[in-house]
Amino acid sequence: MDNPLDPVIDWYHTANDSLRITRRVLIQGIPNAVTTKHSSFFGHPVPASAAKLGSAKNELDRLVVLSLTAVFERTLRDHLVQIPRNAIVPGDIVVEAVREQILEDIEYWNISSRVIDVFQTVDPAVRGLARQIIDYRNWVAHGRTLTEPAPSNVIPIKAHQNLTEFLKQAGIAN
Amino acid sequence: MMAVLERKPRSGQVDAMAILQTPGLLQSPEYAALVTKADPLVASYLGPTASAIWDLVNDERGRPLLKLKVVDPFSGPGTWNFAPDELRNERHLSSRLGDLTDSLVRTGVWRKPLDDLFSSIRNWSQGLPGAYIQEEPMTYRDGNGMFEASRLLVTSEGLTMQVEPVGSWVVGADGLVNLNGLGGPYMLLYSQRDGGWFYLPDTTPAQTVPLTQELYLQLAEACLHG
Repeated sequence: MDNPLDPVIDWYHTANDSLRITRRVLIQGIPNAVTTKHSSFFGHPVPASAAKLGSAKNELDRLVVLSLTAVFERTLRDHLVQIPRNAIVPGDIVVEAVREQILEDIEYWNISSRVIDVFQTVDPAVRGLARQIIDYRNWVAHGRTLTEPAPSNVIPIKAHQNLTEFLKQAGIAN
Repeated sequence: MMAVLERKPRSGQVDAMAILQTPGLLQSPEYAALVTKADPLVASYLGPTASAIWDLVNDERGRPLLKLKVVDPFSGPGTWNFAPDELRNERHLSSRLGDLTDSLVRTGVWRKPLDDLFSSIRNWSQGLPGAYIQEEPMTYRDGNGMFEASRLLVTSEGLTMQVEPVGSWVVGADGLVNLNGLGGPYMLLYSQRDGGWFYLPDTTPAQTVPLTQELYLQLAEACLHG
């Protein structure tokens, strides 16, 4: 299958480039580019607007890791549920009930402690990087500023690279 | 990431290490006694070469926090905040101190390449028109700790670029420094395995490029002028 993480990193680059272009427009003071419709920037000093763009970029970086990790997790679970689905031949009511229970259980497996480790063909170092990215995702998703500091720094394109490597080694993505 | 990190209490003459308390903390007998009780455990993690001082501060909601400042000759000064209850639970405190020593080791390993990078940038910046460099103190977060460091301000033709350490703990690398100016940020990654600094363009697929003087000057021009 195609890499399901690619569409995510594509929108990230689009949004990131848009922020850069906006920054350029503001700094170069291009006439009539900023109008009253652009209330975040119109009439504001350039340094203040640049600071807003910096904050927006930080939020974008966090959100794209959140999104990458969500897609990554869904892809792994979807892959795993195919195993009991394909392995058990339909026809026996009890066997089918067992299969349904297994499918339901997989949805509740903890991503870091159970799902990741099922993929024994993936290099342990790659699994470790995936866990660190998931820890970061958890920090973002659980209201980052109100809880503990970030467990580490995660760069979006490195997260895309590391999670893609996992999917490739797991035989899920090309 | 660093592969080997020391997480155990250190053996040896740990009792010789002095852990001080600020006058502000000493005015609060309850908290002063609390940190005094925790000091042997703290000392066992930090080892005899570090020095440390406890302070009593308030968090943003006005709750008491016990701030531990550690000066380690290898990693430099860093501070960690503890809620009082964290010091009452020895098992939890051991875990926090394990993280703290991880941070100290990681930061210590990163300091040398960071110094080397700054030294190179000072030299390479001579290739920028009329460049001059200032250094100013800053703090950055690594795990639960705040470390003291410096950023470089590279000024050329009236424009300034900041060379700013972001942290040693980066997933998939061993340190990150950003170049911030009208353009950028441009990311410089340190890789212990590959033994050097690399530029990471913000493009996919991620591909690092070894940092050279020529590349630095290109990045600096783009960063300075936007």
